[in-house]
Amino acid sequence: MTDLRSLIAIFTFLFLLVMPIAMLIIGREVFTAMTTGQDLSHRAVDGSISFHLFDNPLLLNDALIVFLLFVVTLSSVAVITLGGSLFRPLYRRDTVDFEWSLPLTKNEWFLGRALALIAGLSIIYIVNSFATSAILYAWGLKDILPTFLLIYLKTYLAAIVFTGFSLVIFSLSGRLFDAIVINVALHITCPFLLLISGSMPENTLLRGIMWFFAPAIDSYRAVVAAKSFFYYAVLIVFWFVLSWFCATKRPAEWGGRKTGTLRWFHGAQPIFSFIGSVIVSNLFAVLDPSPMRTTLLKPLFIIGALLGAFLGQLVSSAVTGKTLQRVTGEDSENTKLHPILQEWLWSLGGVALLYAFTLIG
Amino acid sequence: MVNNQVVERKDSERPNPSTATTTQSSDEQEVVIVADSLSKHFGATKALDKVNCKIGGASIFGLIGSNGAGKSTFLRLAAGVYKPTEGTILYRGQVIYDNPNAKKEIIFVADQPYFYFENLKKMSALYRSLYETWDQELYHELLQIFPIKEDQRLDLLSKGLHRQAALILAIASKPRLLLMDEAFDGLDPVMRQNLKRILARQVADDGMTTLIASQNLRELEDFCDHVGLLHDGGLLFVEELDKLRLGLVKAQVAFRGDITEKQLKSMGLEILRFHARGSLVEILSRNTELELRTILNQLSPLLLDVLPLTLEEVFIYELSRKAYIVSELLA
Repeated sequence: MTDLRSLIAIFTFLFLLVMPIAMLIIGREVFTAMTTGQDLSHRAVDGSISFHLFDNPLLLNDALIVFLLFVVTLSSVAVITLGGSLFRPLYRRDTVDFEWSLPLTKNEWFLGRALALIAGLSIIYIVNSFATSAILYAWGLKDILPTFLLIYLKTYLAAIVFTGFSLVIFSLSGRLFDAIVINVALHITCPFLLLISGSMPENTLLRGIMWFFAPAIDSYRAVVAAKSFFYYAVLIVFWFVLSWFCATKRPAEWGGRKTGTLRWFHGAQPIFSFIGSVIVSNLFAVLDPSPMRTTLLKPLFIIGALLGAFLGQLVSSAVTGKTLQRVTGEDSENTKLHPILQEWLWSLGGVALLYAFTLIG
Repeated sequence: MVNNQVVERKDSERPNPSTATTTQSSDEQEVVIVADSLSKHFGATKALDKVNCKIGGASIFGLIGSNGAGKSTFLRLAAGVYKPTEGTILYRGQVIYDNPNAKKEIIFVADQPYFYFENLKKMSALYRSLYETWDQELYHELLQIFPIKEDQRLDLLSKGLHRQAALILAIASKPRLLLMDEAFDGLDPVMRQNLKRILARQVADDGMTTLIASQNLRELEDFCDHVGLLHDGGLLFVEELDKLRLGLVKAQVAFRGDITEKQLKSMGLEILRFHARGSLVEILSRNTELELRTILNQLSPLLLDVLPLTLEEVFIYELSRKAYIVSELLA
């Protein structure tokens, strides 16, 4: 309890440091100079205009962009830190014994923790946005306040989406360390896959799925990309319902166990192979100078897919703390192919399918 | 894996623990806990396998067994921490898992107590809000008995004091069912006696049922009224302690001539163990003391001493009938 209060206080201070205090440090003159000629109000209010960070001109001034990107980064760290503090009881035997023997339902337990986390984040955002608004108001920059607050609101909503996503990871992990590693790993892998599948148009399903599994990265888009409130509402409901389900169904005995040894992880093993295949095959394809019409037939692409699948299997085995092996259900004992080979074939099929999607795109 | 069946007595008058309560009759005393084919598996490991038992109210039930026998798992199931893999465990007819109605009458003191807040003052406020039966007067009385101050930092306490703090909170909550895992671990002899005295009072005055898991048989023998022995996930044995002691008798006898086990059996003694050392014979039989004396006096022994039986000996003889080696069952 004391930890939570301290964490909220620390993050409130850090947010203040990043936004209003930084504004006070650079001063009104510099800030105004940076925003000169940047009419923010008509650019982002309705959210109908697409914003791009790199190729196209920015629609927000440099100063605000930098500030807000810091805020987004901080809020992602705050979600993981506050969430870790609140959901830590899931991972220790003594805390599980204590909390789950109390006369509370699992629903009450989850709701209490989730609301505390949202409340903590809300306090941080409210304090910060009030302080920043007060400074802008005092500087006589009332015109940009609505735009500024709208972006702030979207950033906050994106942080809540990431909170729901993180709660799913927290509920599915055996240890807090594993939960953080899985969360970070997903946020590294998904954008990487996005880069690889760069030729796909923005609205393809696969790109959408990749953003979906990297909501902290996606929240950077809240600053610049046009996303409706409905988009955030759907994601918030989805992730919180899923996290509620995972948390209330989570067996007490998972606490303290390596995530790789949990039952659901057996089902996740092929994903490692698939992702390994996609990444390594695409990297190898870039290096392959052979004049093949389709990348799919390039020898290095195929070698990369096979090697990537194998590396993926090695990684997932390492997560379970074992040498290369596949844990399978009882039914699969009768299958004709070895589980490792079977997984390879599925991965290669998946890579081919992904490539086909890219071509269609 | 030991076949999970409860040790049955030859005497058909005695209750079969697989179906009987630990009390004399379910009509006389309410059954608090009913486990029916209760199993808890952790992957391939069967921590508990098809355990059946009934625990009566207002009693002190000792659950004994070696490490990994399934004692803590049984307590966690009874506290609603774990969900059974198969079977059911009911508290006064209610499912315990995820049921606050049942849980508000149950308190679990785990082997490693955890405190949400930093001192007893805040913890007691939490317990007061959660348990309607919280007794502030009793809480202050316990603070006088146990050497812990209300505002003392709990995370700085020793293991024994940690346990005492957890016990203060648990007892002051006046639960109908108190579950304790290795309750006496880390307590000094004075505190052990204090705890036993307080628990006995709560059982007598408030009808509290106490279920204590321990590896130490001697710890429980002057304290529990019922005992159950868990081994390898199975409940081997459940019995009322007094009945156990009443049904067995150990004696040292010296006869003038040679007396064989067969002779004594033919006279009506139900001998469990016969050990002759010269003219001195040690007999363990399933008879009352009066029966034993009457039969042996017919042989005009030179010496006849009835010896006290420890709980450990009772278990040794009871379980040896089922070919269990007690040293393997108990730590």
